[in-house]
Amino acid sequence: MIVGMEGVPHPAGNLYLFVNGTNRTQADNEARTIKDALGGPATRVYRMMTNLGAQSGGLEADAATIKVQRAAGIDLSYKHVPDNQWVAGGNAKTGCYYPQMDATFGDAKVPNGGALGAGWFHMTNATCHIRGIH
Amino acid sequence: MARQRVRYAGAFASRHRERCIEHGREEGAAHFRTLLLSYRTNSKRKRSLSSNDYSSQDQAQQRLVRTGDGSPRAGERHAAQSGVANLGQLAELCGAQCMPGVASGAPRASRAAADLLRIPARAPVRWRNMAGFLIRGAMPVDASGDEVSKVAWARGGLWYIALVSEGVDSMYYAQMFCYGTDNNHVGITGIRGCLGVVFATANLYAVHIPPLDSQRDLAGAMAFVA
Repeated sequence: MIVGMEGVPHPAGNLYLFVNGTNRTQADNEARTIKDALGGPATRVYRMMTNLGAQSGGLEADAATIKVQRAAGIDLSYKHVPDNQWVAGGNAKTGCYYPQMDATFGDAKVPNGGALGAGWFHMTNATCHIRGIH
Repeated sequence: MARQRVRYAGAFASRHRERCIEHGREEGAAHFRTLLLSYRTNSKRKRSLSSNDYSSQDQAQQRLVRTGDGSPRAGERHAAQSGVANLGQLAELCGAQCMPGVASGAPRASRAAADLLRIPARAPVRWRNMAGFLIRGAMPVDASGDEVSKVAWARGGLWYIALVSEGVDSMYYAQMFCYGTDNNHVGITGIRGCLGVVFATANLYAVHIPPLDSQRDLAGAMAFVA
């Protein structure tokens, strides 16, 4: 998607990967794979360790919704958004890489106005383990 | 500067309410009263935010600066509190009720105003008409302000409208196995064992890769970058 839409083999940019607690132990390797495919952009893996319920930092924390917005730079934040706070809206997906699931997932859906409001936590060293991938 | 823009926004709604009253346009006056009340409510809410909240006052202040350039984005925190679905709808409301000449015609003036406010050429025509409305309407009738102050006033108005009217159209949240893009705002739905990936370049790209098997996960990564 990225290379196709940017029209260049190695678009300049920054790559961010997000993991909840101690899940996804192979995330660093996956990050390297994606980084290499994009021609080596600056890459960081963020492990969210706090603010996701009693099990934060482990395997069973509340599911985290990630929000990435362009501000002065790039704004990274997260919080748990309950199932009942999602509404239809937003851009349609560009694609689904698992065709059998195409009909199951991917209707345009976004947090409702209230959920998009307060309660987001910035991804910083205080809230996440941040690891640069080289 | 940000505070100035806040004042512009409040003054924009207030001034137009007064003008509608002067000209006996009750519907228009009521509409701008709603906008003004909404603005005041949002303003109070902003002041009461806690310091460890993402939307802390500093953040909100930055957002004001960021949206003060007339870009029809941001303000999502306020979208749900507004009855206005989008900027186009507001343009129609304002144009129809207060300045029908601008909303329905004067395309050349609107085009010039839109250029002045840096509204993209591909934006809906209604937005460009709105620019004309703002440039003309935001100025006091008897004012002899220069171009700079016109733009400042109009940007204040446009900032306000962007703040209250951005809906959920311009963003993308990646669900399981899916990927997509947006210029300014992307996200990834519930991540526990899944991997969320965002690449930030001219656009923002997001993919959601659930933990299935290494081959399938790799397929997700490759579809995302290809």
